[in-house]
Amino acid sequence: MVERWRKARRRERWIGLFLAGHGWLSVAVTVGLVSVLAYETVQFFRLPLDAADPALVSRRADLQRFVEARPDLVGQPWRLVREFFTETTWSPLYSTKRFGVLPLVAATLLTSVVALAVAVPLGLLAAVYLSEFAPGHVRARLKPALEVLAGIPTIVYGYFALTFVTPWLQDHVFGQAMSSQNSLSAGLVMGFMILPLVSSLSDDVMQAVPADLRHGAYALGATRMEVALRVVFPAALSGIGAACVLALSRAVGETMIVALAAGQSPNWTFNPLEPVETITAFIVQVSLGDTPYGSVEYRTLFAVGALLFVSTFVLNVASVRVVQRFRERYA
Amino acid sequence: MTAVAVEAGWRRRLERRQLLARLFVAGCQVATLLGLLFLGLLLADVVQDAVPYLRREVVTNFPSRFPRQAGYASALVGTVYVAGLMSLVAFPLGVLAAVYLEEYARPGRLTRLLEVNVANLAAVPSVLYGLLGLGLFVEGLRMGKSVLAGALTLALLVLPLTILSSREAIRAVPFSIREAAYALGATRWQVVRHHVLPYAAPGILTGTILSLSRAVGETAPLIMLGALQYVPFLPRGVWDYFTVLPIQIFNYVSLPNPEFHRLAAAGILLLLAVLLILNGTAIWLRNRWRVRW
Repeated sequence: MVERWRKARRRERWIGLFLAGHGWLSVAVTVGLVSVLAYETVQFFRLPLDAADPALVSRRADLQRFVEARPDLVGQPWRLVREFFTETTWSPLYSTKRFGVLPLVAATLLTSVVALAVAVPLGLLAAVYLSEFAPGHVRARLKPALEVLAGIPTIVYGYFALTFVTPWLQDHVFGQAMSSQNSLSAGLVMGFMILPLVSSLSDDVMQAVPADLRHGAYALGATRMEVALRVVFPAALSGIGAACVLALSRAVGETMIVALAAGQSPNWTFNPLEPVETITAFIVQVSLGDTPYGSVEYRTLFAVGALLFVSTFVLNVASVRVVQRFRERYA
Repeated sequence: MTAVAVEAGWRRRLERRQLLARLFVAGCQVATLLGLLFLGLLLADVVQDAVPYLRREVVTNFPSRFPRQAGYASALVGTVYVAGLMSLVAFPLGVLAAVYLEEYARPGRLTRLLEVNVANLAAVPSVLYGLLGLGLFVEGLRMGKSVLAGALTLALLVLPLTILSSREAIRAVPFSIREAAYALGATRWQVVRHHVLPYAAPGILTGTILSLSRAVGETAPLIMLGALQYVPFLPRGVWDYFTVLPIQIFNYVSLPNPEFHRLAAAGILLLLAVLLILNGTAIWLRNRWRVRW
């Protein structure tokens, strides 16, 4: 009896360890992601040092092109760091080889701002309707229907933006001022993609606002709009803010819509009618071509990838902080 | 001012407030409907574009330079291959990790770290999983641009989603079930294996099917891996080159010939049909097996 019990205990211990291993696997994924990005990013900023090694340069055609285009960077890694963060020309795939990442950042911001300009007002109004005004059975149908928007693959949105929205805007609104690839259509369509993210999360937090508050306001004679905007909305503000920050994070990381509809020309512009290239679109552009392991192009891929990782990570953490910081507590 | 005048002013303001409220409610309604309208427009546009290509050849033919002869055979088979292999990897890992987090892990700093980590991974842009797959599987482990590398990359992508949805399902099993089993002398693993998992199974399955449908629609991470666009054969093993539906669609959309755009629309319908089947199954499962406590 005691022997059997001991055996069972040992078995239990092994099973526990086995399961714990699976639990920690997700940490291994994070560590893997961060180390791959960090390692290759360091390799990118070490390019000037590699270019200063004649033996290495003589063996590698991509380094030769780098040295020919940018003799000023050879042996000067800090100059590359400064260029990356402050200059406004991005042409690592062309013969000029300039590494100022700001055009990609500007394009990412531009498409994301357009997307938020669509998703935040529409999403919040939809959330108010779902949570405050729609009868139960209508809400039960409408909410999943809106969430279908989030389940459609992004390549489909890219197709729609490129082959329908842009031609329509060209024919009816902007004429030839609008290029066939531009950040406006990409952002508009992306806004509808992230709309359910805003509306569903905001609806959830508004539902969590205690009914007592609404009843109190109605008892004082407030109208439905006044209850929604002056009582429920402020009480749910922390969750709504988090939803909007998450939506921004999604827009920044969105890839296929902008790769198809916003273009692959890294222009330094804030004109939403011109073609631009976002960080994600650049990653797609590079990987469509042939990029041998360790080449100049391969390293730029990871440098901008690391930038994207840091930005979305900061946004995700910020959304959690917003909730913790501004939550109204009702006991 | 007389009482009547005050009363009249109050009434006027009340009417204005009520009118404003009615307009606001209507505005909220319109905003909700705009989202649905957009969805309808999108689907109508795709169907309209796809009409001339709704033929059998779209499913049975291989890619071609001539849009009339081109099809999605290799992409369909590639999608099934990659998604199947990914499920074999991701789902056991995800479910066991969820069991650990819900049933075994003691609340504390380390567990909190694990939870935050999973939530953060779920919010990482998918294109970055492509970079991870490129650096780790394609180059690091020398898997090349193979079915296996693609499946493993997607497995990492859906792992956090699987963990989150499985945890929800496990958490929904009431505590009294576990207490009853413990009271009869069951060990922790026996409680999980014989009681918690069977009750949570429909929920776990629903969640995994939904994350599977997420993986089927992903384009960006597989482009990173260099999933070839012109694949005129069916993959025979895990080391073969491959293509999947979204990548084949992307390829056709990027060609200038508008005939290829129509072919892409037909591919989109194919992709949406696959997703509809997956999601329909998930909803059916949920309704069929849902236990109400």
